[in-house]
Amino acid sequence: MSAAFAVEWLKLRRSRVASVTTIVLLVVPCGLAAGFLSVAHGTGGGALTAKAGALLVGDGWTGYLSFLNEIFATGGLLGMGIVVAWCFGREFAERTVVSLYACAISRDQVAAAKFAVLSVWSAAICLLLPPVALLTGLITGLGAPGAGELAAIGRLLVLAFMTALLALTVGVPASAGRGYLPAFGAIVGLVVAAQVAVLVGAGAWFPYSAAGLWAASGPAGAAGVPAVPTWHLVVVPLTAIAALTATVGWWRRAELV
Amino acid sequence: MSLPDEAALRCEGLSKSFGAEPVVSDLNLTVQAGHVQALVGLNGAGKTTLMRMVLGMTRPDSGWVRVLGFDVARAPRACWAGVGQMIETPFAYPELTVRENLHAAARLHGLTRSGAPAAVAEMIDRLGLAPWADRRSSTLSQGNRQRLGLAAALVHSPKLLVLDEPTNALDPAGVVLLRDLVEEIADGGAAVLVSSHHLDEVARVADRVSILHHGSVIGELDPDGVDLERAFFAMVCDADRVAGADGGPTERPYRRRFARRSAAPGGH
Repeated sequence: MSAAFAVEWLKLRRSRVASVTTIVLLVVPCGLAAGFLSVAHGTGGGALTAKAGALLVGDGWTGYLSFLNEIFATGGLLGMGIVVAWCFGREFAERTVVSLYACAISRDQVAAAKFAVLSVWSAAICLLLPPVALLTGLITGLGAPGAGELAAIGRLLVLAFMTALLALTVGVPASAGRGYLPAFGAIVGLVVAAQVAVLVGAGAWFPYSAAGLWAASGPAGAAGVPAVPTWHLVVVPLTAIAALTATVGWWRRAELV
Repeated sequence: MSLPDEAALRCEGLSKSFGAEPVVSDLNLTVQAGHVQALVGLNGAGKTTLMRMVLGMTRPDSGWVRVLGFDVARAPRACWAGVGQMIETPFAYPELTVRENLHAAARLHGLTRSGAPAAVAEMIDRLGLAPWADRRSSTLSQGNRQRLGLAAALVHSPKLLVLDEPTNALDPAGVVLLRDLVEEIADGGAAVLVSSHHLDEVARVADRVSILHHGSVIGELDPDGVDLERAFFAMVCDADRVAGADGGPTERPYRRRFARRSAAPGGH
């Protein structure tokens, strides 16, 4: 294990930001999806029931996984993006970046190590999400999932990985903006931009909406959602690679201000 | 290429401006191995900017810096492995313990995973950090954070040590400890570049004390001399007079006081 990776891994393991976000990302989306399903099936007739019912695309697992896809497409980007923003931005906000100059390990190696550590962390969340989703479904009484539901959970897994790749791109505003606040602003901007892209019909090509639309248009998808071919998802890794390259290059050249 | 007889640090014609304001102007500086070079100057004199250029944190507009024989713009990993620094902020990640911070610093400065723990243990002992070794650095006092930063700068036994205001927040025991450490590593053959506002303190450890004013070295103080403060301000005022400058807001109050002391009977 390289020195830079070891140091960044230690910092992430000790960070409360990462540990709290891990729990939130695994528990809250599944809990919310189950909650929405319960509300949509409610008999109270309230406004919330009506709204949730309008979003419901099916009963049981189909409805639950549809809600979960929608929630994670946005919530996952927010949660993972916050950890990426913290990982890069804290070095500037807390001025610890000064200690990373004049070291045997160069700053671009440190930036690459940050991406490596964040990739491992987000991959772990992606892999844990399907079992947590299954467990939540079972606990809330949806019964044993069928083959179709398992395929939908596979789609959720792909969505989670795509979301993790998109979250890595937050390294650019966190570095160039020299702090986590510009990165938080960028995350909000990206979420809004994704909504606008869908509204104007460019959602299937806009990286920050393509994966969510693809997941929604699948087996557990909502009626009326335009079908997004799987190959469209190539825009996501391409965007992530471009952002990683830009961030590492920025760290290589950046002066202290 | 590194030359065996080359100075540990050499700056030639170094200049840096922020916008139209020159911060460092055509500065030359050499620090030989085993020597302690102190920089003293008023706030905004250019000490920190000079140190940042020396450490590759900021690129100069003109001139060059060689560190341990290497051009700082293209210095390899081996060069930086021989440099320790504490500029502005101590190496102290709040979520890590003192021991973990030092281990991280050791690894980033090129120590191996197997070699780092012994160096870390030695620094904890040397800097008196043992009572706090397994506490998160966020719980440390400012003085102990400064000690941690010093330990992180020294953990890999650097050949060039650059310290910007290292006595900040240190208690008297810490100041004495720092003095001993600087003398010890200079005796061991390392070069030290240190800045401070405390003239008497730097005079105790430095072989040379250079005065930096408006980005230029305007003279040197004799470390064994008396009334360093007076000598310092005399040079500063002379430099301003020659330059036809009125001095900035920082300097004007002292210029008035200096003039009164000079005019008073028996005044120094």
